[in-house]
Amino acid sequence: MARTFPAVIVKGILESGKTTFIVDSLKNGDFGDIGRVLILSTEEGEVEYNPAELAKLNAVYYSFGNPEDFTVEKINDLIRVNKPHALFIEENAMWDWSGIQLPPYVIVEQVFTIIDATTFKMYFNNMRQKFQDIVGASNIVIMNRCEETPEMAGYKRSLKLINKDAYYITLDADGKPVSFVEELPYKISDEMNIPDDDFGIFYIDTFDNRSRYEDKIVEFNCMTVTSKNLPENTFVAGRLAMTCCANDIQLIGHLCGYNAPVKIKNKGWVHLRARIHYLSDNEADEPQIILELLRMNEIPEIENPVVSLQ
Amino acid sequence: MIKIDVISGFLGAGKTTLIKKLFASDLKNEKVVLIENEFGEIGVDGAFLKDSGVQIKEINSGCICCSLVGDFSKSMKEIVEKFNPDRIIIEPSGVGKLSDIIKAIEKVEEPLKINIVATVVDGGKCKMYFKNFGEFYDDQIKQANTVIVSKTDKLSEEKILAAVELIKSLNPHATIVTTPVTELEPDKLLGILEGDVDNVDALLESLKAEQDDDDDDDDDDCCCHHHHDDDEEHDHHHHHHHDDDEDDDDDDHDHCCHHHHDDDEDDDDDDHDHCCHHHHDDDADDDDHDHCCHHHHDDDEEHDHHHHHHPHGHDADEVFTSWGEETPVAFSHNELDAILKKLCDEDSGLGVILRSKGVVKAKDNEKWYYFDLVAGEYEIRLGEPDYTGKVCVIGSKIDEEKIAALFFGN
Repeated sequence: MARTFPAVIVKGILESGKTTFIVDSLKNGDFGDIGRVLILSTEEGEVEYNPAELAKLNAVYYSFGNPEDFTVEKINDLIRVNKPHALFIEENAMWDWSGIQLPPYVIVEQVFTIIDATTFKMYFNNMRQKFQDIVGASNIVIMNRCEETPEMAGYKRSLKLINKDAYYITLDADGKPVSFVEELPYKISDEMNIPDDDFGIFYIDTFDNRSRYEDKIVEFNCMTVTSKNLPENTFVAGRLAMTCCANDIQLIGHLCGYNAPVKIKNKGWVHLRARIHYLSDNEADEPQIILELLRMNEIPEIENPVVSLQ
Repeated sequence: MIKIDVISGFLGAGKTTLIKKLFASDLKNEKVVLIENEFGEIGVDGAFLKDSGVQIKEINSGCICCSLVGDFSKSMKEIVEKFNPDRIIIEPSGVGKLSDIIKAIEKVEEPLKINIVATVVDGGKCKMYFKNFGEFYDDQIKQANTVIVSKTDKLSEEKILAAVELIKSLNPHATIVTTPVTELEPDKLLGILEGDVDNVDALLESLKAEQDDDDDDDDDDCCCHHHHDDDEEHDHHHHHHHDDDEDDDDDDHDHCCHHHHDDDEDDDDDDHDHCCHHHHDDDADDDDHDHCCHHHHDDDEEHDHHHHHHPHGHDADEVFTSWGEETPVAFSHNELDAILKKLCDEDSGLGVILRSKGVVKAKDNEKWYYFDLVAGEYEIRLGEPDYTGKVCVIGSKIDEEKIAALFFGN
């Protein structure tokens, strides 16, 4: 049977701290005893690898100057020569990775995105598509150099709209975990009304803060989306959200179930009243949320139908 | 014609700082529309611009994929119809290719004329960005007429020199501004960006013209060169046809007014502007009217550094050579004094120095040093900062390497 090599991919814009992350992970043994590591670097950033330091960590690195050189053949050669047990791939975010392939026996185990909080706002506002690409493909997103500013919680939420399934870690300048308490623009109560402009915040927050919403009643305006692929007697109560531009519009919303027979119009607009249920018992699990339809009535399309990340 | 100015540069390079500075210049008397395609770190805030009467139009697509697609031409048309501006300043998304933006502007069916094409480059980061960012970053530098190296007030001379070398390797023709824009007079900055540059070539030419005067004693010496030529033509300018004295006047005169390579009718006017601009300089030197104004777009790389004059049937004694260089390096008064003393010293082994002139950043003063050396005597005075330092030397059998070493160490 052919041997396989587990790989960890580290994405992020130049200067975000990818190299430091890789070296620190090896030093701290964060990935356990993974044996000899081959680092494939495609960027020469602020911090450069020190071969002597890597040798002590049972690691070697190879640096690629341009995408044309990053080929299956080259990676084959490097594996043959260096005999690693695992690979780390440090991805230059300015390269177009869509056409780049890894050898079939290299199995990607985890994908990280590293983000520098100090440049996040400027980069995110101007390179939305890049963040869509890298965060969208990641399991774990680490935002470092975080300071306690009111904007921080918003940053995290913007990213969660791109990829709500990723695990997000926020670290301060010393690498210590920090968390940010966010002021919600609406009031949490047993029966709450979500303003149209805050739908994105509400949606993300239901996954983050189960205790705020469990078994509560909520009212908001949304689209009803039906599909054959949904369980019987359910539809999605959601909104279209735009991360970057018209090309990235996606539906965000919760599954909504009903008992009494109602007619659901695909992509119709309604004002909806529902109770929020969480399906899994364990707080730590990825929450499974379902809305129980209490009442809804048709409305005309709302003024700004698409949820914007701004 | 509506002037189109493009101020490019990667995110955080300092585009907005530059644009703000420009709004303090004569530009405030024009009707200007600013198109922002970027969400800046320091936004060009509305209140600031209200006072200056500038219209802002944001084309906030905010990402690479849609920054230039489709609507650009339509937006430009709308802007022209709605505001009828004298000038449109475009701050494109910092992650776009400048050549794409220029192409997009050229496609617009309105009477537009691309005026400024400037790129702001973070002096401390350009090497790293260049290595890792690939094409769009190179392209921004390659396409620019002016490259502004930003954050130079926080960088060592070595870093600045490395940045300048990198920029020159990508674009030998651009004017490279190494002085922090905050230290430059707004009108001067605008002039530099618009191609009104007293660069080291201009300085050399003016010195040579003076030298010719001394030789020939006859010319009227305004010469305005606007070079768009290739090497061959170019060489021609630098030859001195001393053998046909009869025609000399005509020739020189020709050179003067002839170099308006009229690929474009409007050019003449422009050239005239270039020519006259120098009379506005605060510099009260008598020889001001001797200045030549060059706007070089030629392909001769060597040219940027060295000017050789070839003999035409002259005695070897009359052959002179010139050397000039642009530099961000700063000098103290003492250092400069020692250098000029050495240049005056006939036994220095540097050759016979006829003339040296320059302007350099001062280590020990806010102002810059302007120096002028004629036949063994020199003066150093203080003046306003220039976009970068420049030094040049004219002499007979001069040792360029030694002179460069004298100014810059090894």
